[in-house]
Amino acid sequence: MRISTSMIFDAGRNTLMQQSADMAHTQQQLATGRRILTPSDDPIASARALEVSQSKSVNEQFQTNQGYAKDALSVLESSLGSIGDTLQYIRTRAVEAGNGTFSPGELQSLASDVEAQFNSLLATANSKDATGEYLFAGFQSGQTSFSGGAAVAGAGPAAVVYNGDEGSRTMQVGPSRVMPIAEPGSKVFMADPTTGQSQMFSAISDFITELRKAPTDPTRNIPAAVQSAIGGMDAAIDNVSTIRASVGSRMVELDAQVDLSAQHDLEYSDTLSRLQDLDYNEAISRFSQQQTVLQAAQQSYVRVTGLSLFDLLR
Amino acid sequence: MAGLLSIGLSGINTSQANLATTSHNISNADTPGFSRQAAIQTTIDPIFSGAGFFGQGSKIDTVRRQYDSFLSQQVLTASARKEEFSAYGSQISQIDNLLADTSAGLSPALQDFFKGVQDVATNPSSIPARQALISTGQTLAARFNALDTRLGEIRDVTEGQISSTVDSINTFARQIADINERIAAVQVGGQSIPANDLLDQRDSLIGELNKLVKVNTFTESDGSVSVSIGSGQALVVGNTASQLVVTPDSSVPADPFRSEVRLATPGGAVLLPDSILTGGQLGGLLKFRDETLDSAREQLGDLAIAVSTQFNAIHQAGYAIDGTTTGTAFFTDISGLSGSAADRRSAAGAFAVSITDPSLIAASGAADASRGVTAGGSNNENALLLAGLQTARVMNGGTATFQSNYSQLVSAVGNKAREVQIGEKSQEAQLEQATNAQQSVSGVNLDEEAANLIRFQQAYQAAARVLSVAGTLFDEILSVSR
Repeated sequence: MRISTSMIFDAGRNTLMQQSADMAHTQQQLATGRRILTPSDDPIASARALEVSQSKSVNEQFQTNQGYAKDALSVLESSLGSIGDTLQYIRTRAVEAGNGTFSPGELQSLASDVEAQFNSLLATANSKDATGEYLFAGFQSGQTSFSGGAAVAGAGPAAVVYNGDEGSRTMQVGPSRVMPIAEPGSKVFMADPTTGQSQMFSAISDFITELRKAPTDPTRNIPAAVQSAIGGMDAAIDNVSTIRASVGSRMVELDAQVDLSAQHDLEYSDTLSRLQDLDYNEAISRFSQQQTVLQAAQQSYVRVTGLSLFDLLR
Repeated sequence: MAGLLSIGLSGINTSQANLATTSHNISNADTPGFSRQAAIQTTIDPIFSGAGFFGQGSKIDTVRRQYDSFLSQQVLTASARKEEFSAYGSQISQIDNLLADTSAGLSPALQDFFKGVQDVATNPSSIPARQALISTGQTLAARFNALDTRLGEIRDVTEGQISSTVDSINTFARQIADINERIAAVQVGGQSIPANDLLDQRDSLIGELNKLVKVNTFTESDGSVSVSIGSGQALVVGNTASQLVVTPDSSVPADPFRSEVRLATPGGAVLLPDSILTGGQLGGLLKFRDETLDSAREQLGDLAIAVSTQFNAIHQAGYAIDGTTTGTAFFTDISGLSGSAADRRSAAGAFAVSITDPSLIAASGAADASRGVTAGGSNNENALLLAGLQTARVMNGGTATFQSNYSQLVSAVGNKAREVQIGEKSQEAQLEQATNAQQSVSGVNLDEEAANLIRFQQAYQAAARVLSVAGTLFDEILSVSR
């Protein structure tokens, strides 16, 4: 084939430009550590990477929620524990009152002790979480969970009424798991569904009323009151223990979810890396190969274009 | 001897002509579009004598350019396709980079927005969490708007380029008409005595025009070339050039920036549909606009409409923190823009957050007496439903999530960009082959010219020698008579 002088120059120039472009692309990959610089480099992998990054982001949100859920359940669990302890203490005191050796004065001081327990239980029932929300108010966490319980002279405190609702706040801790992280006060403190009066608090208050009656009062019947107080406390302790067991099993389940999410996070990171990241071994060897080719192209270009018959015409 | 002198002289003349042609080739070795020329040398008609025909020396018949119209046509075809891909490619690469960018793309904003929703679901009564959701919603809106603005800028640039390309086409058309007239004027001897350099210039102009829009050419009997574009619309006939004009697209009055190309004729401007204006930069720009830019803007608009409409539907069914307020829209209602293509293209720009009061965010579900549940406060049932939208398949007839719909857009543009890049490379290779084939016929090789220079120099020296011999012979005769 006949070759024109411009073909020699153009072909050489085109090759040099192509080689430099290839090298610049590899250099960009090396500098960024990314295999895919623009979606057109690998459209399928880029689209996939976007979807995986959403899955990763959703999973990260679940991990955040799991942290919140764990905190909330721990607070709930320790509150339930302290409620159980208080109930147990009141039951012990009731048993003591039933052995019949206490003088009227001793029974009065026992009544004061139980009333103090009553107030501490009420304080727990109206406790707030770290963000200032009432723990046991259901969805109505902005208002006091329970009202009432004011001291009454010569008797037990006034009735305690539930102000919240039956809702229990939930958090999404997994792709298909929405976990309750609170228990409504009505359930924990056994509120009557129609009047809203807490049966747990009434049992304690009734006991105090009985203890404070004058020894001359014909209606006074300590042994019967002791029996009913023990029965009331047993029912309350059963209730709290059941709820506490359910909270405990949720915490165990949550631990499993935490492990699972951590595992998923690792897998998503792996997938993203495989889709987007550069294989440095391959890229560096490609780069040095391109370097060699470019050098050869430059040197041969200079040689070929340096040849001219005119140089030999003297 | 008179014969010898005139034969020697003819040799000197032909050698001079050959040397001039060679020098012309050498001078124009780098002139774009130049075809190397050769002086066609023949013998002078012989004189008959009784002993036979005696040669009378050489003469130059004509000077002809080395040119193959078939090869040139191949270059034109490959060049129009290559320029089309090249114009398309330089436009689409801007979108390609834009959509999947980790900071400018939509994905991160969409993910952050749903993180905000999850935060409200987790802390439903927290005003800061609610305020943060409004902020992430505004960030999402800003991203939609920014993408729309950027795509709008690309649209403006594309329309501007369409307009300036049409201006250049008109300029080339006039120049070709002018040169047609000059060629007709100088080729007085007919096409057998070609005005080589003017023909090269005209071919070069046609080549440049063909880079802008694919042309078909036809050589008329008077040596002028008619140029047509599209499906045969005449742009240049003889020494008259028609003009293309860019006017606002009458079929899309809602989009005043959109232009269409018309051919001005005495009877009025005739519309040239985008589908027939193929090849060249104009073809690439129109194809980019119709195939990629429009559909990218429409898909982005569809996504904006779907996000706002679906989110609003759930949000409006929920209750505010007070437990009573309901029916509040979170995003501005843009569902009315889902009708025409022009409306869909504008939807991403209209995407906005309409809620301002964080307490109005409807995180709460409805009160339900059977479960003893009231609305408001830390009721997060509706917020959980809103958060569920992130992974719900609510687009493309229930087959795609918001994210996967956006991924489809990124993938569609990426695939198209890749296709165009590959097309451009393959057309570049074809153009190179066609150019090489054409150059191997028409291109100047300086070594060849150097060799010719020596050859014709020697021919000149030999012819001069003939003259000197003729002179010697004449001296011989004179000395005999002395």
